[in-house]
Amino acid sequence: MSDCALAVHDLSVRYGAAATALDGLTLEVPRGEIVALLGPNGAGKSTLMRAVSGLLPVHGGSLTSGRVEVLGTDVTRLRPSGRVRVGLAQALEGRQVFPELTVAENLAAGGYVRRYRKAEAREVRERVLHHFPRLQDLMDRQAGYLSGGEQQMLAIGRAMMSQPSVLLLDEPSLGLAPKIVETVRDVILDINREGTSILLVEQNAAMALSIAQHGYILEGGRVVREGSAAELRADDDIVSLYLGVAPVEGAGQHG
Amino acid sequence: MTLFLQLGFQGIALGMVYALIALGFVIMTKGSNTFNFAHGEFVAVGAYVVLALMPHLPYWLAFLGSIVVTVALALLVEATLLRRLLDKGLTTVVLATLGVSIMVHALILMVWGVGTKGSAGPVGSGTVEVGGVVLPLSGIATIVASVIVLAALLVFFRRTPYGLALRATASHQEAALAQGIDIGRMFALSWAIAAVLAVVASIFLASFPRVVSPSIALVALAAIPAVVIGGMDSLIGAVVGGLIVGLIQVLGAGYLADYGGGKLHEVLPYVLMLLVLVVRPYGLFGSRGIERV
Amino acid sequence: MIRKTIPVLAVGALLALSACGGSGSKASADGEDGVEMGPGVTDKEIKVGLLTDYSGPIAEAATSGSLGMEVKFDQVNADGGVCGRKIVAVKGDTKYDAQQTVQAYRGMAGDVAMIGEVLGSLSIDAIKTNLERDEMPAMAISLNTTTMLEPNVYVPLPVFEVELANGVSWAAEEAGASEDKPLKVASVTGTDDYGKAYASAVEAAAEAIPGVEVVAEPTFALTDKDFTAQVSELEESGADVVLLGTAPSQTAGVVGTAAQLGYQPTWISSSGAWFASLAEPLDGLLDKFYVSGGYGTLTDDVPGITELKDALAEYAPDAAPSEFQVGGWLFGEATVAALTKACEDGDLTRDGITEALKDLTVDYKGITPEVNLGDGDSIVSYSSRMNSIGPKGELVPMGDFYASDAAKAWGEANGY
Repeated sequence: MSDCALAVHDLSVRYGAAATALDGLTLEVPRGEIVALLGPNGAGKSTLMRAVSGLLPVHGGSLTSGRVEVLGTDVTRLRPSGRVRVGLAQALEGRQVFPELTVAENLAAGGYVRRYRKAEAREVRERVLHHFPRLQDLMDRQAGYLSGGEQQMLAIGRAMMSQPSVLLLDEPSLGLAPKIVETVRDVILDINREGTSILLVEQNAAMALSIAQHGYILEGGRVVREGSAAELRADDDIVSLYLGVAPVEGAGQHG
Repeated sequence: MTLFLQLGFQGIALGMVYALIALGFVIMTKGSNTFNFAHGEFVAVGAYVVLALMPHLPYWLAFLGSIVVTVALALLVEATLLRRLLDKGLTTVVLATLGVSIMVHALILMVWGVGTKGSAGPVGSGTVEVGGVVLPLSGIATIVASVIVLAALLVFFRRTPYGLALRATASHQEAALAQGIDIGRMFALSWAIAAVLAVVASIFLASFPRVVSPSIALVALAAIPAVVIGGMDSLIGAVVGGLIVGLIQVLGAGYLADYGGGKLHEVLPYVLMLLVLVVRPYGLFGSRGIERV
Repeated sequence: MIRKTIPVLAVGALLALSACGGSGSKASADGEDGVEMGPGVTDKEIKVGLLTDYSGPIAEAATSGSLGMEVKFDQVNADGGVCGRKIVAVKGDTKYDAQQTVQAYRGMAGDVAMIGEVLGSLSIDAIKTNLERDEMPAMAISLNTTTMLEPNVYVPLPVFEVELANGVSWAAEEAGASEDKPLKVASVTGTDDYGKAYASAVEAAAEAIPGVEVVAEPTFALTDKDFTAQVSELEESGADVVLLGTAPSQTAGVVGTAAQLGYQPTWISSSGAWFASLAEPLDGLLDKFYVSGGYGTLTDDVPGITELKDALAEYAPDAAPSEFQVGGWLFGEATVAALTKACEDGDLTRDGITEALKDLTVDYKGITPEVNLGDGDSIVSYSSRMNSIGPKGELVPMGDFYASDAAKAWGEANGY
């Protein structure tokens, strides 16, 4: 199992007394790979992200069965802070920066669990900013005043500040212009090339499958299909179901 | 003119005390999303404990001892009651703090009785005269200590990881959690800071010629207009709001005593509070809420 | 120290079950001696309700006061009681809380002949409508005209207004004030009804004394924490004497601030404005501070105090001496006097006791001059005595009790 960056076994989740949101879900993110998680709205993608990062209780959800492992360590019982320390970081859906804090402070907050010394913090920040040259000039700007694309960059950059082994990205292309989506895509690839494994949740299946090695398709809280990105791209059903309804800008980018 | 300066000085000294209490309210509100109605009783506990320890210890140890006791009380309330009620909604939590306030008040009455006690300030009754204006040492100490505490707070929030984490939590709780910031610990930290501010405020509230009595908790209510005027989520607002309320009360007692049955200066901070709520609901310094793009 | 409390409280609680509805029981019967008897009265005993704080915030003082009353009853009972009936104290614990007072009152209302004491304006406010409905005679420990004017409520000692008016008169005499040598006085009071009553008493007294003029009347809101404005006004007015109608914490604020601003008038407070613990924060500032007090202290050498000390030695030998026992003893004296007169008139119903209270004269045997309760809405005595402050904050008597013309003039002007 230790060749897996992230492994999820038989995971079931419930929100209060409502119906089961995830039902015995199993998936793996091999080290160094990008794995795409696709599916329609309400399929349970965000729920899976929360279960992995430990944010379920914030939304009133709870695990009814299953196990989450990061780099072979069982983190199922850890709080979010413990999971970040083990090497898991998440960029939330909808970007969710700290709007009143400056860009520099947002980044510093991302490195909070690592308790960096001053020099160390600067070094890590340099490395992260290398992926986001745009943010360099905005360090003292309040994050709430950044554009959508800049906020997305900041959200990913902030997550990278803890130098994670596994990065969870929840809908990074949501609501962004095609040009920006392309930039985001390139950044994700860059980060992956430097060794970070990535679980990428996307509505924009075309974009996701264009960079992922592997993909899972979720429906009703279960995995209904899994395979290599190439297989999934070649599958007519998938193409008509997900690539067809995917945002126009994504569909046009490769073919 | 001398009278104006005299009243102005006293108003600023009193206003600084309100500012410290208002800051406690704001920090708790920002840090843990609760309005803690028991904060006034924390102020009272602070004063009573200093007073109880003073005869046995050097003053600074009595002060530290009171900080230990008051912070412990705040953490106990936060951990045993409020954190468990958080998912029950804001109303439940705020009502719970009201309940705590009544309980702590009853506890104070049981331990110390309703009687009036001595003063618990760090300096005595001495004064300095500057150009005809009498500056009581207690007033000078209040202003100096408050400024030092405010500067320390500023450094804490701007320059330390915990300060940053606290601001991040106040800004966006889920995002803070996702960064690995332990929200529960931040709630506790915000309550602990508020409790320290309460003790600092309490020794100046009980400085000569003021004395310790159970009504000291009511003063926290006078800080509520300060909080609203300044803005519920603004630290600078809390300080400015506190100064405004202090100046209104003391200058008002001097210049408005002939109107409204002598009660005008008591009512005016609340009038101003309502005015601010109508015209600028987020307070003079509060954020309107920065739009997410 | 709290004798018999638990069983009596338990009885009170049981009674509460049956007495929650209408407690104004009118049932009366004649005793073997032909005396008409109302609730709480049998051939053997007369039950008197004591509503005070036995376990709350001021229990220490209040229990002491209650003890003073109880040893008075014990002393009378040992001498055969009131017309052969023993006085039994039914204690209700108010915990110095309005809600608790209402409960405690309801618990005893159907089974007591009268309320011998109810402590504090907060408790009196809570039950005043019940007292009126039940036609229950009651004596209140809250010494001011506002309380005195409540229906069925008697204040058997001089009120604070009297103390302040006598204080003005004393100051005028001390200063040798005259038209040629005027004395400037001022008052400091709260903005509430009590404060207004105190200020008007000072005004009326000044009006009645030639050469005394009121030059300032600053008021404070009850939430005020800084008294610079009030003290500046006093200083500006050049008042030689300042009368304090304050609560103790405000007394400290006013006197302390004045000292800091270098203003040193003669201070005269009512007994309610002083608390012994103020001696410490105001150390060194009390040379010209006097308290006008309506009754004496345990150190007085008068028959009343001797009797009290004997009774304490006999019936409560373990109790530590406390000035609050003196006040309680005086309320006991007034209760016994009322019951004795009612019995002599052959009517121990509530109506009978209410009738007896009218124009009742009570001899306090030197602890304070004799009082006359009048119609229950009148000043019972215009006498008080000036005290200076001892090293531990205790009152040190200066001279004798006296009733000033100025105080009487104030009373007449107000129809008390």
